[in-house]
Order: sequence, then structure tokens, then C-alpha cells
Amino acid sequence: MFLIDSKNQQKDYQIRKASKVSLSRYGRSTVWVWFVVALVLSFFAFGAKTPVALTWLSGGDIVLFAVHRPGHRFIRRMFKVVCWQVGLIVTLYCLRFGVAEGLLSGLTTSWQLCLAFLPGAIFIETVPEHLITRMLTDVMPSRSAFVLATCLNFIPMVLAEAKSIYEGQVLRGARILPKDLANPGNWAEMLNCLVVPMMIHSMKLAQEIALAAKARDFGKKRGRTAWPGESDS
Amino acid sequence: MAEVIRLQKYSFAYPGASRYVLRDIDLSIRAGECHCLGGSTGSGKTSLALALKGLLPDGETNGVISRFLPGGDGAGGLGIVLQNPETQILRRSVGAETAFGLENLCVLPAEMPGKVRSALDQAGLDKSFEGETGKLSMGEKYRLILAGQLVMGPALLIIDEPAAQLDPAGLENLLEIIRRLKVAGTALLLLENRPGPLQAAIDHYWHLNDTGQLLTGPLARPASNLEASPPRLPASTLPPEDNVIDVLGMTIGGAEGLAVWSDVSFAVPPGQRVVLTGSNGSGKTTMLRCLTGFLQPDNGTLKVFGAKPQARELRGRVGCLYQNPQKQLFETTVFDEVAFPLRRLRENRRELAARVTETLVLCGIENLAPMSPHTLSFGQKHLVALASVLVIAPQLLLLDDPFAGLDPKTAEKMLRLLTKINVQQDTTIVLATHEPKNLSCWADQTLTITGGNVVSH
Amino acid sequence: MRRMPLKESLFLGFCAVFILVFRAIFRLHLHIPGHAMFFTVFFLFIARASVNRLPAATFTGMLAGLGALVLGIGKAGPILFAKFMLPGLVIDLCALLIPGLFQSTIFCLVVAALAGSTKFLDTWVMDWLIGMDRKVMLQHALFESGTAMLFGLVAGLFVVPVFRKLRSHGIIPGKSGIPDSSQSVQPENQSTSKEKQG
Repeated sequence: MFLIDSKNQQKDYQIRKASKVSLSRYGRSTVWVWFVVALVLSFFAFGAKTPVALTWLSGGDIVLFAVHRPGHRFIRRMFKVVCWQVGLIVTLYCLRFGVAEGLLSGLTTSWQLCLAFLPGAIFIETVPEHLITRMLTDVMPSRSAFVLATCLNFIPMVLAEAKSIYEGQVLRGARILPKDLANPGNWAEMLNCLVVPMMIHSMKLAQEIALAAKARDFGKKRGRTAWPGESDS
Repeated sequence: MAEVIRLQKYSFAYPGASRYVLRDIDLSIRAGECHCLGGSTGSGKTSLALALKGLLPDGETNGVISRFLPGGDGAGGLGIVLQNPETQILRRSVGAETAFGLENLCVLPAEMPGKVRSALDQAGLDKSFEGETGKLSMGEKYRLILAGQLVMGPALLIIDEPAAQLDPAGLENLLEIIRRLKVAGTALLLLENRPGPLQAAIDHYWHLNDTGQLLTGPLARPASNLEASPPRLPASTLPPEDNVIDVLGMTIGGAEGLAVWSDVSFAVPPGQRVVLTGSNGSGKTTMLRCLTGFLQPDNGTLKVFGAKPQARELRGRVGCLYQNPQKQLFETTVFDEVAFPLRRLRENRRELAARVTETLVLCGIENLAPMSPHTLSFGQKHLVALASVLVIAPQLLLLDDPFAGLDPKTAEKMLRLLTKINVQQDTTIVLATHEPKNLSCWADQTLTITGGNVVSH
Repeated sequence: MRRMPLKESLFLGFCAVFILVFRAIFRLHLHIPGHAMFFTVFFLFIARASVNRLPAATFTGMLAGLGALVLGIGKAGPILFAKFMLPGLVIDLCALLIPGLFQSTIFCLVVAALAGSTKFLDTWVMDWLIGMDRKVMLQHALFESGTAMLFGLVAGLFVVPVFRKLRSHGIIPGKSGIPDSSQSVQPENQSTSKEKQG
């Protein structure tokens, strides 16, 4: 009775750990805090008209960037988006007001626009997927939250199925290889050979998942409680 | 022992259906008993399970189901493990997945971890709560699904076709769980025609006949011709030529840097019947994908028809039937489905109609030509998918587990068909399966994959 | 109004997933601005045709917006949901007002163009909140949404043929609103013989 083997101790630890809500860097409460910060920064970007205000907001974004540290892929993607928006808006302003006036107005407006979407972009890029899902399920109706989380969880299976259908159809002669799809005339082929079977498969999948959920009494009571573990929704 | 559930003259017909799927069922299950229900495909076993749980749609019902479960008059206290494990795991972590039922019953979060650990122990799954469900083996997934039911403390647990999901070791494991549950007073109902080692725990046998009536005793299974050695037909009489498939020193990497295939070499001459066999995850499907050009090996050479395989070039020469081939069906009629590849090859209308009809006759499904594939049975859809591949008279036919899910009669029909086209059209066939024992006499060459290596015999 | 069955909700969820997955895949290959509207409009149409309930397309759009948030797809910001929900709302309202919408190519084209044009609204509202000059606002919105409207229109072209195929496969309800075959609610008539492992 006095000897507790390590396996039992491990199990006890897991039970205790799962019962607490850990406030790690990306704990549930922390995620909400960062979400509100991103929302506030985006919100103020709409009202910031002066260079001083825009500079302060840019500082806020830089802090957000430094804390979350999104990777190179994000930076490359945002750089392309920013260049496109700045180029387009500045061009339109210059055409409207002439180069002298248009350039400054265009740059200021582009700056404002970028500050409006950047905080949100940093947030969704850097916060782990399961925590965003957790956050959403905290506010959504339980059924919708379940639907969202489940469908996202089944993406790998759906993609594997799509790949299998795609390869089989290609060998049957369907013109849906990447080079074939450069011709818009073959888009109907893709819809018929790939999308239709995938829709049929997903209806069957939806039926099976619904049955599996109801087999464990999903929807039997109004509302649901939540597993207290850190990962997963 | 106390009664857990009772059916009295229970009958059910699905909405819009012309016949009852369950007819005048009288059944009583007591605590601590293990019942086994058999029946041929489509006899209504799963429908009966859904009826017990109260999950059938609103159809025509007669008779009474009386439940004496802790949940009262509702369907609580009854668990079902369904056929397909992949669609029953709804969460990403072991803990959350097991706790799903508790969430639905509004159990307090603080109470969940203890119950979850207890259920995982009962199911014999020693994994942490944060363990990823996606990384579990099939047997572990099955135990996880069991834990997900056991955590809710069912008085009656229904398990649908466990032998289809588990190998002998897995079934032995399940037998131990069933024995423990019986001792604890849980009632069990197994929907299974071939219980194997589970027979040791079964107290009563039932089976459903084709009219939906429940009879005592197990289902008498007709001898499957697929299990006996098929007659050895004349081997290909083609003179030796360049091989259809040449594999030399091929290596393919898999997940986490482990090799799926390592330095593998083999050749397949024209007209040969090859069976590719190995356990789940051994790389059979990977090999077929390499042969079709959709996957490139990391090392070595692979040639199909003397050249590096490219999907675009192999169209019209190679036919491929992946697992669950009926998922490829998309046309509105069987005729159009089978005609699809010929239309892509720009056949003229008269010739196209003649070839489609010929192929449908070959497959024995000519009467299905005007029907929608959706209305067909599972076996018929399988044959339609096969016909749509055979219509182009491929020189090489690749099949991935073509008999999975088929009843013995359809499986035998398919095997005879494959033999016929091999002999009449000299089609080279590569067939991947995890159940090679039925095909050892049929194959000219058997390639067994073990630990990334191939043994040819 | 009767609650949507779980199976239908999940199917709409998968339609939302397809919107996101196809957007991501074809962005990598095609690199044409605005092409994402093709998949958005198409799958919202299919969602509404398959689940004959008023908020089906809007619900699908909402799930797609939330899914985009979770997966980090697309530019983020307050208009992320609007990008997917507005076309859904247009399709839902038109399906309510036009019986037989999904069987008429002309109507599908008109509605698809309207749904695609919501991109104009997204951009215009965003620019208005920023305080952009009015004329520049209009030009910017037109420029951003021009190709999106075109792709939305093209999507409308494919709805009717795909609708017919899905109907013949029992995915889309018959005229009475009930699935064409009761087989769609029966367990599949097969024994499952999958790969086995301990």
C-alpha cells in the first residue's frame, strides 16, 4: 500500500495536469488577450489619419510582430500583399490628384489599410490552430462549434480521398492534370470527375460522423461541457 | 441477471422502402450476457443496432422496445461501436476523444480526467491524454473507440463487425475486454458472422434471415469458392518480351524519414498475374502509385513499358482500381460511366456503344446500363467501376485490395473476370491484397513485402 | 423552423472546407487574382441546393470564414467573414425568391454574378471606413472585384450540370424535399473488410 509504482504516479500527474488550465504563452486566456489586442489595433487603424497616430499604431504592430515572431513564409506573403495594395492605391491617387499630391495621400491611405489587416493576419498566423478553434468554441453555439472543429479535423482524410479519386480519374482519361486545367474548357471535367465524387463522399462521411456522434449521445442534452485538457477542441 | 433490453414483435421499414428490414423481432438481453448476431450483407444487423439505440430515422414501426437502462426510458446507457473506425474518431487528442461522450452528457470537467483514465485502462490503451489520435495504429484506434464508449458506463455495448477491423491478436485483446465487462455486469451484443476467438465469450447466437426475421443459432455460411483454390487456367502463351514492369534497386521514403521500400528489385513480364501482399502500411498502395507515375521513388529505377512512368503517357494503357473504387462514379447512368474513358479517347459513337455493351456483358451487368450508379448495391457499384477501367482494354491492370467489402459471390465473380481478361486479352495484372491465401494458386508471381523488402515467389 | 439535422450541418461544413481547400490548392497553381470567387460561389450554390433550408449558404459561408481564421488562409481583418458570408446571403435570398433557381442556367448566372459582386462591397466598405477619397474608393473596389465577379459568373455556369449529377446520385433532395432514395439513410449494404492490425 505504501509502494506506488511510477505508472500510477504518471497517471495521477496526467489527471491533475488536465484538470488545470495552464497559463502558458498560448494558454486559453492568453489567446483571448492577444485577440483583443489585435482587434483594438485594427480598429484604431480605421480612425488614424495623422502620421503620428499611424506611427504609434505601427509601433504596436511591431511589438506584436516581435512577440509572436511569425516566420519567413508569412513575411514573404505579407510583403507581396502590401506591395500590391500600395502600388494600386498610390497609382489610383496619382491618377486622381496628380503625382505631387496623390503620392503622399496614397501612401498614407495604404499605410492605414495595411495597419487595419496586419494585426489580424499576425494573430491567425501565429496562434496554434487548436487554440483558435478552442477560442471559437467558447463563443459559438456548441453544435456549430462541433461542426467546425470536426470538419477541420477531417481535412486530411478528405484530402487523401480527393487524391485517390483524382489519380484514378486521370488514368481513366480525365483531362485534369495541371497542364490540362490551364485550359478553362477542362474545368467542367474537374467539377464532374473530382468535385462530384467528392461531394458524394462527403455526404456519406457526414452521415457516418453524425451517426458516430449521436451514438455517444451528442445532442441529447442542451449544451455541452468541455474537456479541460490543454490540447484539442 | 436483470433484463437490460427487450424487443417484442418489433418491425421496422425505412421511410419510402417497400419492405420491412426488421420483422417481428423478439429478443431479450440480460446483464452480463454476450449475444452474437449474424446475418448476410444487408440483412439488417446494423439497423437492429441502431433501433436499440434509438437512432433509426422516422419510418414505419411496429412492436415495442423496452429498455431497462440507467438512463431511464431513453436510449442512454447503451453504447455502439460502429463499423468504420476512421469516422468515429472525432478529436485530435486521446483525452478529448475519450471524453467526447462525457461532454455530451454535461459531466463536470473536473470529473472527466479520472473517468477517462479509467476507461482507457479498461480498453487496454496506455496512452497519454495529449497523444495524437492520428498517429495510432488501427488496433489502438479501435481500443480508443471502445474507451470512448466505456467512459459513459453503458449497461449494453453493441460492437459492429469487430473481426473486420482487428487481426487475431486484436481479437484476443477484445476477448479479454469482453470477459471483464461480462464479469462487471455489462451486456454485449456482437454483430458478427465470423467471431473467431470471441466465440469463447459468446452465450447466445442469433441470425437475421433475408426477410428480416430473427432466428436462433449462427448463420450457416455457404462454402466460399474464393477460399478453395480456383482452377488453374492456362498460363499466358506469349513469347518472352520486354518486361511490362522493371524495378531495380528502388527505395521510397515515408513519414519521418523511414523507408517504405528499401532497395527493392523485381520484374513483371507481359501477361503475368502478380499478387502484391503485405500487412497494413507495408507500402502496397505506395508501389501502385509509383507504377502509375504519381509518386517518384527516391532511388533506383522504375520502368513501365520500358520508360519512366508518367500518368499522362500511361492513359489508355494502364487501368487502375483503387480501394473503394465506387467512389469514382459520377455519371448519371452506368452506360455513361463505362463510356467515359472511351469518350476521352475520342472513339466514334457506334464503336463506343459496341465496346461499352461488350464490356458490360463481360462483367455481367448489361441489365444495369440505363440505371443510376447511386441505386446499385455495393457489389454492383464495384463491378461498374471495374467495367469502366476494363473498357479501354488496358495492357496493365493495377488493383488495390479489389475484394475488400465484397460478399463471397461477387468476389468470386470478380476473380473469374480478371482471370478471363488475363487469358483472353493478355492483360498483365498486379493485384495488391492483405489476404493472399486465397490467391496463391491463382498468381504467377507473389511479391511479399516485409520490413521494406520484397520476397518474390 | 425545424432544427437542421446534424448530418446536413456536417455536409455544409464540408462544403466550407472545400471552399478553403480548393482556394488554397489552385492559388498555388493558377496565380490569377480573383479566381477564389469561383470556388466560393460554386460551393455555396451546391450547399444551398443540397440542403434546402434558408440559411444553408450563409451558414456555409460563416463556417468558411471561421475556417479561414483557424487555418490562416487569406488576408485577415474584420472583413474576413464578410468575404464568405455575403455571397452566401445573396444565394440564400435568391433561392428563397426564385423557385427552381438551381435548374435554370440563366438564373444561376445572374445570382452567381450578384454573389461575386459582393467582393466589391467588401472592398468599398473597407475603403470607406479608412476614409479613402470617393472616386478612388470606387475605382479600387471595381479593380479588386472585377475578376472576382467574372469568376463568380463562370461558377454559375457549372451549377446546373453538377446539380443534375448530384441529384441522380441522391445527394440533392427530390421535388418533395425528401432524398430521392431511402438508401441515403440506410447503413451501406456491405460488410466492411478493412486492413487489420492489432
